[in-house]
Amino acid sequence: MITIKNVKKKFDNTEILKGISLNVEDGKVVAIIGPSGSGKTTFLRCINYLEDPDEGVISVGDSLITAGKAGKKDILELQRRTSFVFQNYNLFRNKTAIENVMLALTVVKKYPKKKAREIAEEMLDKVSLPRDRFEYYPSSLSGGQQQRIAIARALALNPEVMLLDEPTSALDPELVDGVLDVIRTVANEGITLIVVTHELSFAAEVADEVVFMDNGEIVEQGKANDVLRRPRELRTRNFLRSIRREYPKIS
Amino acid sequence: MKLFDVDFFIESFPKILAKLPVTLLISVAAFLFAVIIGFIVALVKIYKVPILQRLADIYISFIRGTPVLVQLYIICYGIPKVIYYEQVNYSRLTAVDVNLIPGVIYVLVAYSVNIGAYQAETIRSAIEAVGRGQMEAATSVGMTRTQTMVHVIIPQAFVIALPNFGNALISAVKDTSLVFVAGVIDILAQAKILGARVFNFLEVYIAAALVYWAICIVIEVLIKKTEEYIRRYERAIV
Repeated sequence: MITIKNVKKKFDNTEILKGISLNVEDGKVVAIIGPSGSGKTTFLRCINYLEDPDEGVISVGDSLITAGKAGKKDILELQRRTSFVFQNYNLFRNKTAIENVMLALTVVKKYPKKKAREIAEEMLDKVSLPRDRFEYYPSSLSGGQQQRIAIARALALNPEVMLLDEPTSALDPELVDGVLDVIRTVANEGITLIVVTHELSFAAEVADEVVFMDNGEIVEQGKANDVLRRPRELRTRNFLRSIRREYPKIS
Repeated sequence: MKLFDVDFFIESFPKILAKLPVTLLISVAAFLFAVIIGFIVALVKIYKVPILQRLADIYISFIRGTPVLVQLYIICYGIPKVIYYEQVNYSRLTAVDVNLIPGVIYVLVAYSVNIGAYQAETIRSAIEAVGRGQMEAATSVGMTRTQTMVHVIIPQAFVIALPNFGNALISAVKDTSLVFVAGVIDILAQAKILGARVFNFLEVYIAAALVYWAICIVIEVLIKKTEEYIRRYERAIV
């Protein structure tokens, strides 16, 4: 269970998050949509404490953090329960595909190399990275392959929640579907996911719940079908209309 | 009178070459200490440690803004005086005999401090060049700052800094030709001594120049080889 209460964040004097609360039950998939600059990414980063919120409470499983009162250990604990998939993959460039997945297992979880390698192989199989690519460095791999590895790296830690920040936005169009397939597989395994995405049809299909954010607050949230097909709020409707105009094939 | 006394040149060359280890020892050791100093100063600047950050700025500015010869004089005359002052006024450091401290120690201190200031900037920019993204990725999988540094950032920053390290090492070899100030006999000091005996300086200085030149070429090649080996993970798409 993930509970987020009244999270606020300012950059300089600009209020990016104006008090966001969200509950996510275990095993659910939540898609966050909204215009750029609405604070979606910042919110996601706060859950992983890549950004420390100014106010609010974040709790994932048994770990609970109140903004401003968190010690280093609490933050590390939270980070070990959550994992993050970045828009531009952020793979470790000095490590091969499989080493990228193994690193946190050997360093953070202190698994022996052999066990770490077994888990890493299993994860890379799961994200359908061809076996002959396991020993390649990121610079020799395509964006789609790199993002698969990033997902495998996040999965390997067996997190309570996986946070994905526009995981397909940096990909060439022909690679998007493959990565979405991987995320779909992960979702079906019952891992809790929070995904910031512009892929509305994907959100409609995979997400249990859709959250529409605008201007630092949650405007509307509910069942994916309700929010995407029968939005109550004007702002949601306008946003959906603009996106559908821009990417007609997606909707 | 001869313009160039070949016999004298051939006779002095091995004697000058014999001091190569002194020059190498001083420059390599000072360079290694400098990398450690530079790394610490770089971290102070990257993590914006209060107070220390200011001191780091002053340190870098002072070293870059004053000649290395002046810094050598300050260290060579300053350290013995401080020790002596402590002994006379406070009876501290009495185990040290100022007259027995070899000149090479002063030289090492001076050059480590000097090169360290330059390396601090090299290392800082190399660490920052690795990029926030990978640092965040490491954070997101629960790695601590130290673990991230050791496994992800330093190996890559090292590669980025390598060409600069090579240049710095080559500069160090040449810049240490001032160590006669502290009574240390290196390549150039030896050349001066040999030349002074017969008042024939051109031959010995050319010999010294050739030794410096050769060792710098060797270092350049070594650095290049190291770089090729370390950069193997940056291969283009296969």
